[in-house]
Amino acid sequence: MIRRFLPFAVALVAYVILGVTLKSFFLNWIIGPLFLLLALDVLPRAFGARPFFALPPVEGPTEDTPIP
Amino acid sequence: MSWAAHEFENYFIQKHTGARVSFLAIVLGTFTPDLFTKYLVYASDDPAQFHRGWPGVGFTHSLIFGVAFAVLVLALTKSRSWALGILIGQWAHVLTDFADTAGTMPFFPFSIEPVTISMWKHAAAEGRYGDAAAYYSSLGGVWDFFWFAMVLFFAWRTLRPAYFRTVVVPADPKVWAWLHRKFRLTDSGLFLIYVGFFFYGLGRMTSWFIYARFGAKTPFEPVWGGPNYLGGNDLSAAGPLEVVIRTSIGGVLFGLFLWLCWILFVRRLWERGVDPPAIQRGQGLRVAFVTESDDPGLKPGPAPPARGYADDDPPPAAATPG
Repeated sequence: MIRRFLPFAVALVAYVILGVTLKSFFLNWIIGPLFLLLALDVLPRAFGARPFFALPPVEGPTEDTPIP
Repeated sequence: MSWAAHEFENYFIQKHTGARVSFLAIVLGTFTPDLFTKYLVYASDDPAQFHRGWPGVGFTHSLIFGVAFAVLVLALTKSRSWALGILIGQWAHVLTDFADTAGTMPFFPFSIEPVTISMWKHAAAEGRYGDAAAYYSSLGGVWDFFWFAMVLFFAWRTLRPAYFRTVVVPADPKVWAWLHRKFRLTDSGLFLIYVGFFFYGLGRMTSWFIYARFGAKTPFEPVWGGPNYLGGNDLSAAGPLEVVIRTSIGGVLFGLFLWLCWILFVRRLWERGVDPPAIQRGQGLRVAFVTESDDPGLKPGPAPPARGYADDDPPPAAATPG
């Protein structure tokens, strides 16, 4: 449970620190809604690391499930 | 004006609209009134009048603006879920902004009387940072926290991946598929965009609250009409009875105008519009509020996908009619 929410908590702390120190229009209006995507998915992948967040696998039958 | 409340209320609305309405359209709808005006507000000589009044750009905070935008989107895209989302989102913004002293003109142009409950002061005259400090020193900040708590307690399911996969994406498969293809975003990336607006609201609320307490060091005065260190800036000197009479007349005329528009052309646009494949509504105005799950008499539409939408899926848009 903690591991699932940890990336979000760290991203929130980072956002708040950036927000309070920079008070940037760009951060607030342009980056803001996409900050989570950038911090947990795009930037790690851009630097060759694994994304910090991954959805759990889909439950139930998938399109790849063979029809009996 | 409200700050983070506009981000949180999207999820609360989403919980009640489900697959009938596009989440991204709700977000666009709630952002629209401030999208092109907020930056100019702080540069204005009379920010409250410019932001909410007439003359000014106060018409962006009126119900008719949402109707016009939604009808335009319906005419251009034929998407009912987008038209409804923009309408509901923009109306939610208008109703939320009732709470500050500048108020909104809900029935513009039939009434230009601002309607307000004066819960906190519209403080754009203090500049961007002064506005933030004043808002998070008043009941405005409490209002944001109220919506945050409403989502956490009553709409927390909307933040779950399963909800995103089974409701949010099927309600708007074309746009999510386009984001997936165009920006090579994975399933997780799309989910992060979805919950990103909630995170954005929480981040803004926390940052500006900290700024107000430790940066601007303004006194925290969560009292009706606060903060008290600012002067009032009501846009109208009219008394409550006068406001009620003018607004009621405006409301009746607005209702008649909507009915006329529905008869003349909106109905035609609606009926040629299409729903997302996960839903089928039937005919007439009631279809905005009734689905086959509410009314078994309606012809059932195709079922939502049994699985969600993973990054190895073929584009869902291929299965979308129209």
